[in-house]
Amino acid sequence: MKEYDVIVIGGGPAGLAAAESAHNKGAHVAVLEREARLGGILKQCVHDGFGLIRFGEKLAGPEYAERYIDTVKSLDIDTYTLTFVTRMRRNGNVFDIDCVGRDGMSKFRAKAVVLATGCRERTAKQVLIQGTRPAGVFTAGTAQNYVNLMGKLPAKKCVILGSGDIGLIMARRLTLEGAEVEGVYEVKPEPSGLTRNIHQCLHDFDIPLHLSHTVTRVFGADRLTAVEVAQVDDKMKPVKGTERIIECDALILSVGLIPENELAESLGVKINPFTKGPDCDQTYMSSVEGVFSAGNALNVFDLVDYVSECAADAGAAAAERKSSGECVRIERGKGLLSFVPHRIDLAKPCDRVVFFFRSVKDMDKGTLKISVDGREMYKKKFAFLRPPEMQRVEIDFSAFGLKTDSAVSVELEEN
Amino acid sequence: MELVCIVCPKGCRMTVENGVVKGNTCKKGEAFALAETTCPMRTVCSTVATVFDSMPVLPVRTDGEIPKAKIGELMKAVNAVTVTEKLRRGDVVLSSVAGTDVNLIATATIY
Amino acid sequence: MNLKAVAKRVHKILPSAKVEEYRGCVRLTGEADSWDVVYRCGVAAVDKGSLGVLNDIRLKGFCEKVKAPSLRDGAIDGATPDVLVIGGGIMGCAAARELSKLNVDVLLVEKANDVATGASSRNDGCIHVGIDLHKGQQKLHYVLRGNEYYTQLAEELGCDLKRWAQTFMFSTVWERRIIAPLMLLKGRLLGIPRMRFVTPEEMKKLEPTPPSWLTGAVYMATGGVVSPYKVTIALADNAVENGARISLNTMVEGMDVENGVIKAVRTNRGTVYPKIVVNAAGAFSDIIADMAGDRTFTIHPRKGTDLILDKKKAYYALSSFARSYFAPLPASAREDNNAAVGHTKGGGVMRTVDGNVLVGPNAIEQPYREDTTTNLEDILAIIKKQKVAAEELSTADIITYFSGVRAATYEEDFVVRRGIFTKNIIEAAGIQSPGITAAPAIACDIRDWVKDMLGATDKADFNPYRKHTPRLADADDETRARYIASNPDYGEIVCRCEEVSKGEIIDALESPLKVCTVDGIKRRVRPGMGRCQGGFCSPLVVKIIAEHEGIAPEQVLKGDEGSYILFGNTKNNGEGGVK
Repeated sequence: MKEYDVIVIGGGPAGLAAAESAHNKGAHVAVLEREARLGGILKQCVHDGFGLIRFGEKLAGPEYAERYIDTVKSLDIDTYTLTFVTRMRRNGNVFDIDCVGRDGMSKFRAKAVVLATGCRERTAKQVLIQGTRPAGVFTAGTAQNYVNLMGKLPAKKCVILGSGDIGLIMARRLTLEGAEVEGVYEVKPEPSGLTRNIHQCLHDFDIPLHLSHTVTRVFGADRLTAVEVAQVDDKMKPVKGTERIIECDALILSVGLIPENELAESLGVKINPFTKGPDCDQTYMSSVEGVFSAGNALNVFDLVDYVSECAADAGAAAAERKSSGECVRIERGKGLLSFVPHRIDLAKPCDRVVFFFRSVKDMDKGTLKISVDGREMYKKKFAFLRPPEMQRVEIDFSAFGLKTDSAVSVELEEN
Repeated sequence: MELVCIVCPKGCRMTVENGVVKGNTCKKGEAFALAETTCPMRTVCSTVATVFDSMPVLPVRTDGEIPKAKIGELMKAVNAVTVTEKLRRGDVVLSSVAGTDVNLIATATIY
Repeated sequence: MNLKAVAKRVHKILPSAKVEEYRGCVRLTGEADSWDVVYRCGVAAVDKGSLGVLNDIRLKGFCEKVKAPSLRDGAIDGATPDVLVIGGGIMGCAAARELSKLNVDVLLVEKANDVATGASSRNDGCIHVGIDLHKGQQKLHYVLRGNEYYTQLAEELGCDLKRWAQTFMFSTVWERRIIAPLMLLKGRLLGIPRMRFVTPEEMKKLEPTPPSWLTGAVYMATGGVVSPYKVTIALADNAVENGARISLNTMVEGMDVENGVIKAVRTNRGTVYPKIVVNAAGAFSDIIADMAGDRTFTIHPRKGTDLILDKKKAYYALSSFARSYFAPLPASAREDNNAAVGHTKGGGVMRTVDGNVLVGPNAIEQPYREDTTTNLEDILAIIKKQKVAAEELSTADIITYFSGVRAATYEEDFVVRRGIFTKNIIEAAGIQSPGITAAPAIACDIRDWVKDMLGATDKADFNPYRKHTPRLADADDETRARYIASNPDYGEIVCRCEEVSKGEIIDALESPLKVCTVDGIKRRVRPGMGRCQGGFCSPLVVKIIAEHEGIAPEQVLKGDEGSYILFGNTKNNGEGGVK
């Protein structure tokens, strides 16, 4: 049995940042990673744009990850790769973690855990694409793995469904590698990815973006031979008569990310219906005392810099293990798609709460308002709010005079 | 000319008229907008082949921006490279690519 | 045979149809504009006094391009097996395994690149009790024997079998009072053991979320579930372990029949000269019977679609249950739920042996024998229908879905018999639901017939126990540690959703029946079967296959030939660069 103060599950950008900061707070820390190498999904994100906030530089994904890996390795932090958590349970004040690895079964015990388990991609079947089951249907992340880690081309001529960031990045990546991207199709009336990615990934390479369109069927008994696309109505249902067959050899999907919280759920952690990650307080502690959540497992971020920031805060909090007290819930008012944290623990500091949120729709200008017991206590104006682009703001909740029975609500008003 | 800034994830909407940039929120944005109207510049990221089974391709990027028009030329050079040494992150893979003074550097360490 | 009555019924549907007697069968010829007409004519032609329906009414303009392997070699040319089994579904594989108990030379041919690629992998894996069947049906006879045989079979093959029971639920008081006792009586008459009535209160203990309208249920304890493709593969592996040969990518193209004896069977991989042919060709079994001159039946393909839900939703179903179809829908579920899902039992909700929830199937008559495409209307209709029994059901829980084609005959029964017009054929045709349950029992009869026909003796060293690695994710820590100590690959998890190790994947690649495709590995040890559907593990599986087989990743196939996953290197291929 190996015992630690903090065990971080997942060695991607969130896990590494959490481990570093937990260590800096004096905790004895271990990172458990199921893959052979640390770095998580950044290993395959060879495009740049990472680290602008954290390092003030535009780095490629592997560079960003390696900087954290170098730091973690230089510190007294134990990292276990090819170590897969099979079971976790609470044992009084500690957590027992069973793992399997190439050297056998191992057991760990921790006073606190940070779950930095990342997210997975929604699949073709989960968006109800019909037809045959040929080779050539890939999620964008899988295609990215083939291209950027294995150096293999999964498509010569493809259609991309979904304008999520990975889909846009892969449109450019495949084009640069000599494949043809027939077009990117997005079921929503507006793009799902960052605006800059629409420009530098699609416009730069003359790749058409078809909004309010979806892929309804795939064809081909063995390898994919074509897809059917159709226009959708305002309820996102395909419109009869608008179907079009596109001959291609691959369909690449970027239709959403789902936080991976199966381990969290096995511990009884409550999941927030809007972020699909653990319901958390301002230190990213879940509903289970001592279980913290960080990175895309908590909330799907669009910037790794924010992942690192929130994970560092979660790691520090896991090391400190401040005892928790009464919480005040933050009610979701109109205009907001999702946000973290979901509650403020009054026993923990709340003078600098980092509040991440997404708007429910595009707003040229919007005002974030927080009211306590019906009284407006805070407001801040934002420009160019879009659901795919997460906003970050620091809020001093200690100034609001919160009491255990305070009714706190947050809303986003369009101006 | 209307354009969206790609310098940072903020994605400011800007306009350029007679060399005057509006809508930018920082100096980098202004410089980007001006370049975009004359000679658009891009950082290019890709991979190069290696001889190592553990890492058949090595991620690379240009260490500065190159003219957008030269991306094709750059990719031809990138695709012709095979790395035979265990390069480290930041090592130069190709120097002065596509007739610029920009280098192609490794963005990961071959393990 | 009452040909007049048959003709009257058929002509009501298609006046131009020709109805005649042919060798004791009712034969229909002509042409129709819709498949529905063709199908209904076939149903109308069923006559107890005939051997079966030969429905040769053509659908105008219809032509199905059947998948055929392009491979042409002489791999099995000149072979003289005692028994040639045609078809690598559960029927063919069960037959091959039973036959490997005898001192006979067995060759099984399958046109796909693996066994269990047709209906045997595209069904719910239900081990039926037979309550919906009737006295005199071959289906009932074999289901009762098959259900009993499965306990031993699962043990020998090392396949999971869960006797999680089947439940038939009632929504009205009159069903509880009238249907329930009648069902129990029918069960007794049919010889189905361990059936009983359960009250809603008892049901709550058996199923955590019974529907709100429940008035009672009939509980059938012998109902069970297996993984149908794993059982099929295990049967094939054990047959090979005991000396049977399996030739994949091998399609029967014709037969030479002289004086009611099959002399030669021609395939794309050579001509074979068997003493006996076993027809286990599923949806193509009438075509094979026709080649052999022994056809007395017609297959009308019936598509069914099943949905698989996330294991997280396992609490929806601990057993297999369906709502009784006697009463109208309960009021709470009646609204907007008149979608016709099909005409068979109507499917249900069940827990698969791997712990997912399976919903379905429906039943759609179609002319295509191989069209396993899915359709949105079917998916939505199935959800809508089964929501009555599992009230929390939602499309958001779906992780995947698939369709299969049932090899139904117009008599809606199996055709299991020795040849009538051809001496050296054994028909195991029309094997559809409850075929998974019945096939192993049918195979026993096939074995006995072959034994009788060839005067064969029992194989003294037959080993019924298939060599296999237990599923390590379910094994205790000690077993798992022992495996990892023997080979660290057992400790390297490749598929995170289903917790499958590299060692288990390599073992699957080294199975007696060697199949090294991504789908083949998936069916054997489950990487890619989980909620991410292979998003994370498929590149790893491709790499493991390539390394193990000494081939390039772009040579790895998903399934059949042509299903390549990758196109070669991104670099140095002379095609890079921006266009």
